[in-house]
Amino acid sequence: MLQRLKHIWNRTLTHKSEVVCIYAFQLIFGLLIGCIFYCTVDDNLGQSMALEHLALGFDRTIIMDMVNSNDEVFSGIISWVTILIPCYLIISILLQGGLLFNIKRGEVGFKSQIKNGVKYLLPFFGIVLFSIVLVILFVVVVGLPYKAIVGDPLTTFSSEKPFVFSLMALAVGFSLWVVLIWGFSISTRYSYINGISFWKSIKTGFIFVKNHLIELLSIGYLLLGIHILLGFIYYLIMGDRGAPSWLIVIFGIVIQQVFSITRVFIRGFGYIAVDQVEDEFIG
Amino acid sequence: MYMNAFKDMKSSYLRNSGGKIFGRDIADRTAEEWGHISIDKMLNIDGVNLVTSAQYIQPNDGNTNDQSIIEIPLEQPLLPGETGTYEMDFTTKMPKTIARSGYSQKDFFLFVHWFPQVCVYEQDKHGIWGWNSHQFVPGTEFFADFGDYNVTISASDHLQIGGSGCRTSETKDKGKQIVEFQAHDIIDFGFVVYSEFDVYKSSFQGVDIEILMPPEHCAFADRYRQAIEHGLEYMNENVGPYPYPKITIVDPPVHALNSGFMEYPMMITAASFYGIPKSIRSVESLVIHEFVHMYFMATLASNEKEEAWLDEGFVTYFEDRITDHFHGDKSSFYNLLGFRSGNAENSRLEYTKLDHSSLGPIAKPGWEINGPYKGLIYAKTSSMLKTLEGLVGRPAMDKVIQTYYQSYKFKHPKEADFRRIATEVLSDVDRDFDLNHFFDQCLHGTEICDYEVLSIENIQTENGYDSKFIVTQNGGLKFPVHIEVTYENNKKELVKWDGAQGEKTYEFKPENKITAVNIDPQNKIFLDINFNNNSLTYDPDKKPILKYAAKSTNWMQTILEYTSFLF
Ligand SMILES: [Zn+2]
Repeated sequence: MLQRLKHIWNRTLTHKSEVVCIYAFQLIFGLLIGCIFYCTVDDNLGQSMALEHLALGFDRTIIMDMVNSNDEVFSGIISWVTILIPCYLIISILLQGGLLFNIKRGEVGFKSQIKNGVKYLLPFFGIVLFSIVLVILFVVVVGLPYKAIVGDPLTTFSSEKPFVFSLMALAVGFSLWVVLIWGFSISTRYSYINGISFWKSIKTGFIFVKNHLIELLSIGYLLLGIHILLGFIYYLIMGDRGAPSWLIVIFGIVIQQVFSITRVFIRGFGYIAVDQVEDEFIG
Repeated sequence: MYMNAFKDMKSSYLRNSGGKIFGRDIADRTAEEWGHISIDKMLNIDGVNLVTSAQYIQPNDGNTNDQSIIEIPLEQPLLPGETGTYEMDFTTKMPKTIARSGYSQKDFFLFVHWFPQVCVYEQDKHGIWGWNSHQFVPGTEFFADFGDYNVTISASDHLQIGGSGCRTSETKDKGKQIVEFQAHDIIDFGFVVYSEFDVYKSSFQGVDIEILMPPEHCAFADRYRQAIEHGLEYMNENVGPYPYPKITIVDPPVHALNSGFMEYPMMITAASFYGIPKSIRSVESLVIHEFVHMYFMATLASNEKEEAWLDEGFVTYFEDRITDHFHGDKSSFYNLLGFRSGNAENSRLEYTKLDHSSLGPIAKPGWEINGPYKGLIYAKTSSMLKTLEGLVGRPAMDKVIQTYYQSYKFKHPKEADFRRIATEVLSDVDRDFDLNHFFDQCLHGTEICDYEVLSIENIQTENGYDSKFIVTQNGGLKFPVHIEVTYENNKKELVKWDGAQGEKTYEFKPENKITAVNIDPQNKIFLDINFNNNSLTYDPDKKPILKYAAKSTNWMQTILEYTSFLF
């Protein structure tokens, strides 16, 4: 098992330039927001001694006084975020499609990633839409009846415990479904890269999920677990340190970026793990 | 006859409610789900039934469908110093939970407003004696006189019972229980009945604490107990001894959540929800808030209808002080994943977030407040009291409150009473503002307070600098305030400013140039709606801005990574 994970990790490392490429795009989008944020806060607080309090850690009064005295203060940032996210998601189909191509075809490098990402953009966009429909299906088939049965949870139940637990069960069910769709989406794209037609790839994707439920769920929850663990470690390291010195600020930025790139590596790891399962299946 | 407010949608309390109370639909209730109260007979000492000549009156709005006030003429006037004894039979039908009172599934009952309450006979502000009788209308709570209560409750023996007062006897026989409660000097009596309650009993500083909560909330029992102990300890020490032998805390089950968030003499109703973590202390804040009502409502029984700020505002002020004292002034409300807020901080923000252009005064009857009730009555009052504390110091403020409490406990103090006590107590405190003007502008005015430093200027001369700075008060509230001036050599100097509306220029000829100006550096004027513009510096600390910009960059990266998992 460990040997297998090590092998997948080693393969992930061979695609580091593609991973860095994805990370770089995320960073560019992030920096755009960061710069707007800096200018906005600097305009509002740049000459205020309130910054000295903010340097000691989160201070709700400072943030809320800024928002209350200028209702529009963060609206610019929020509208930029809502524009940038859909733009990135389209680019993401390209970048991740290219990475999947390189993984499947044993190629490396971001040039091949971009070139093939562009080539597969349209069909992969179709697969993405199909996957989103599947996610919505859960909401329609399970979520809506659940809501109808539960009604107003504050009056339906004699205690909130069944409601809380049923919500948790629903969340677990949803995560199961999403992990399977995630596996389906990758497998379908791999099939398409292998030259199978769009609808046949979709069919192959379903068959793959059906035959590899346990493997897919193991990979999915392993990655989910790693992400939760990372979040926990991040909070332990960063906490609310404030900004008492430049060293701490720079240390924080470095840690944030280490975690950001690690997350993208985990994504690559997941793609290769699915490929590995598929190879072993075909082999 | 409060219960008649829940008789149908035509009562003054409900007719303008839009069919919702506390966010719950009420308009489509069945006849069975409404509540009402009627007096069957009221006999005087001679056995004459007075109800025959009774009639409902509507002094507030003339709505003849409203039956919340009944006027029962006596056969003969009761003269000063005389005593009247009357015997009354009444029938109350409890509604399905509405605005706290009533029943909910699985035999939960909160019995409040279940009996006819006598209005308060008192002098109005012009000194004229009369009945203070207001209908039960939206935006108002209650007002009643003190009395001694002996209440006998007969119920099925599978039910747990809690209430105002102390249990004096209890018998169980053949599936039935009879419980007797007794209470002295209280203005109302409420009790609760539920089959599923677990009961937690303890004692602290001579006061019995009884907590009734459904089993799914057992994790909160200790939190409630500690909150009450904190409240008792702090109020005993800083205001006066808790005046009753007992306090009952009722935590309603989720289906009766609307019964929570309320205070009755010697009994409070809290609210919790399975799984609320300890770092979210709104649970404790609420318990402490309701507990402080035992002082401001139960003991200092001000008219909650006419002067709600006298109870809710003072209660919020002490709720903030108690929680901040025990849990830290920047984390007492919540402290979760790096985000935190203090209780007083939260109260101030409730006030400062309001649309100040449309604010009215706080010292006016509940039915005249159609704006942000909580932001004004609770938050502005507590911020006003905290501002007064900032101006006169906490020891003097405590002396004011202690004297007010001692002078008016078991009475019905009004605004004038508090102002008179404050003026007397603070007469020997060194202060540079007019207390009357302070109360007039805060309680009856609509002005705000917003200090701002506009500019700093330094021109080098042969002997040093020609320096000046300009400050302004953007609102009309006038409080004296200190301005802290910092020079290049880090020397600091305090300058006094009367804080009057408009710009004020200060000119100096210092050896070192001025690098920073900070109005009210300790944020004593809690009513200031924006602390950020109180200071201006030549040497700003940009590290936090960079830190938060980097954080926002990272948040964006994280959002992109997680939203694109299917892409
Ligand atoms: Zn209250």
